[in-house]
Amino acid sequence: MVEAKKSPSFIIQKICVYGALAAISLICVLPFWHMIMESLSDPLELTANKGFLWLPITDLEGAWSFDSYKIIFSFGRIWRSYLNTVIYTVSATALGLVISAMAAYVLSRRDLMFKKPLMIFFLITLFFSGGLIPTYIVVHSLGLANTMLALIIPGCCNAFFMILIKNGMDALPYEYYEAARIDGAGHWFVFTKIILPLTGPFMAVTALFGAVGHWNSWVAASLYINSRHPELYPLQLVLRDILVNSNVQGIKGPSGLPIAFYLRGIQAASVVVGSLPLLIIYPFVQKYFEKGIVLGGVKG
Amino acid sequence: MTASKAFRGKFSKRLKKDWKRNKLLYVMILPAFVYFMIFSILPLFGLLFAFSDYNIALGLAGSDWVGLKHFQKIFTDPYMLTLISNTVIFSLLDIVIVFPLPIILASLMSAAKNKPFSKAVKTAVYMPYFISIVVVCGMIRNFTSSTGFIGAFFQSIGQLESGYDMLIKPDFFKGIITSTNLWQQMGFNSIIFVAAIAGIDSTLYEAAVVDGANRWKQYWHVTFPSILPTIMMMLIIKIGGILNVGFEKIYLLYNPLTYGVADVLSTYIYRLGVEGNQLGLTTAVGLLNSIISFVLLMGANTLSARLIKKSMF
Repeated sequence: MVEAKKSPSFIIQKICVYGALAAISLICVLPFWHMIMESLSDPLELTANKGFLWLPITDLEGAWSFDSYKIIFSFGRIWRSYLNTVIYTVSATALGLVISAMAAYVLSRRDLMFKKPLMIFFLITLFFSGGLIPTYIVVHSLGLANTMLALIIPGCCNAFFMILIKNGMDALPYEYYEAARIDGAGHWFVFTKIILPLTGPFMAVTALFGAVGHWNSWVAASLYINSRHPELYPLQLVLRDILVNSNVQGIKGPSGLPIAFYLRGIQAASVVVGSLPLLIIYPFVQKYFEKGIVLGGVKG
Repeated sequence: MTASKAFRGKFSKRLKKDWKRNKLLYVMILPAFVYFMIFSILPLFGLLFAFSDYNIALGLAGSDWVGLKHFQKIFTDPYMLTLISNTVIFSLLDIVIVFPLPIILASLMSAAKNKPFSKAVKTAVYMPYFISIVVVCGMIRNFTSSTGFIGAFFQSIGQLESGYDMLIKPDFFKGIITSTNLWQQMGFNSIIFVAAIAGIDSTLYEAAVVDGANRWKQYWHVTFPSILPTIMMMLIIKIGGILNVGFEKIYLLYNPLTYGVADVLSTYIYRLGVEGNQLGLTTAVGLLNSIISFVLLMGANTLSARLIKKSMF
């Protein structure tokens, strides 16, 4: 917007805008700040604390405490579930990307006879869904329940991301494809050597959205992995046990005290341990998320 | 006859040529086709279970077809009214509170021209989006417990008896869900409006200034009308989703004491379907839900087309 600078009303407006934005930013960050401070507090002192923590509650010697982290890192299920989540996230994202990119390449060819019916088929899946229960029945009937595949295959693809990649491929000059074909290049060569390298940003956007979704997902695991198979639990399901069900079975405290005394510290430390990887990574790839929202929004 | 024969001849010839030329393309699209056949189209046929007492242990052969039994139950069960009213109230709170604030945030963000400051604000306001729902619910339980800082605040102003968690009090439940939805989504939902504002032609502002418009007038006469189509598009999607209140947060935070204000269609489907094994009934609820959502979406779309000449389809 344009206006004469330096006028008093302009300065007041500026202060309001920057002030409001600073306040909103603080509100967004402070809850997590509080959790970090709790996780670094002395767990036994923490239990009775009632206020917001700007700084950790120190122990008797005035030092920060890493007891909560020591407890949570000595809990084997956390490590196992971390590994599982990495496996699920990487495999599901990669599988989804390969399937979607191949289909997107096919759908952006102009000389394909069944292009239109295929396109309609994928659009139907975008607008009509059977819902939770029928999908749940299908996955169970396929015998995927209580296997790792249940958290990798269902949900790895969606038509929205596929069409996003297709739009990216459509935006490339068609001559690239035609010239290569006239020179005798096969589809696979054109796809892997010409089209894919040029659609990098679109692939990055879909991969990032997919990966965040898989990393944070717990519903699929709670539907398809039952409690008799805790070794298949992803991180979010173990976190649910600790954070939501306050279930600390199997966690050992440092002293003879009941583990319940350490519960709040353990919960705070698991919040931090569970969220930190994404919170460290996302600022570096933030622009791809912005780009993805814009691309997705434009296409409705 | 001859024409259709000729056409058929041409068709099979075209088919042969297409197959020869694009064989590999059909192989490449096969995985996606099979995937969506199994995980999207097959569940659509699964909607037929709404007319059966499907039992997952017995399979389809061991399950009885019961006609409209489940639909009769849905239309006569008074609990459905509780479910629907909770669902609609959650959605209305979402539309009235969680929907407009990202627009205001985006307007503020586009008024702040300092680059490093904007970058810092964006990083801060997007952050909650990247925290998983399970962790968010863990944080909510911490803050609203009798020893959490929000719980302690409500105790200090006398709105909560000491020693009580806010989550067992029905009065707080909808507020907790809505305010934390706002916290988690506001920044991320503002992205699309920031992009819409950035796309406005700057000569419009210059013309407004020539006409003597101050910043406020520039906002109402240039910025707001320019992003109205984007706002309407997002609103249409919201209205289409009035019955689709996400069940994850509510499911992780409610308990039998708060079912009366917390239970929505999706939590009911999950609780009775997956945990109670009443797959037929819950499929029927899901089916009705989808049909009504579709009608709402189309209605909102038509209304938008009439009112501001903009629509999605």
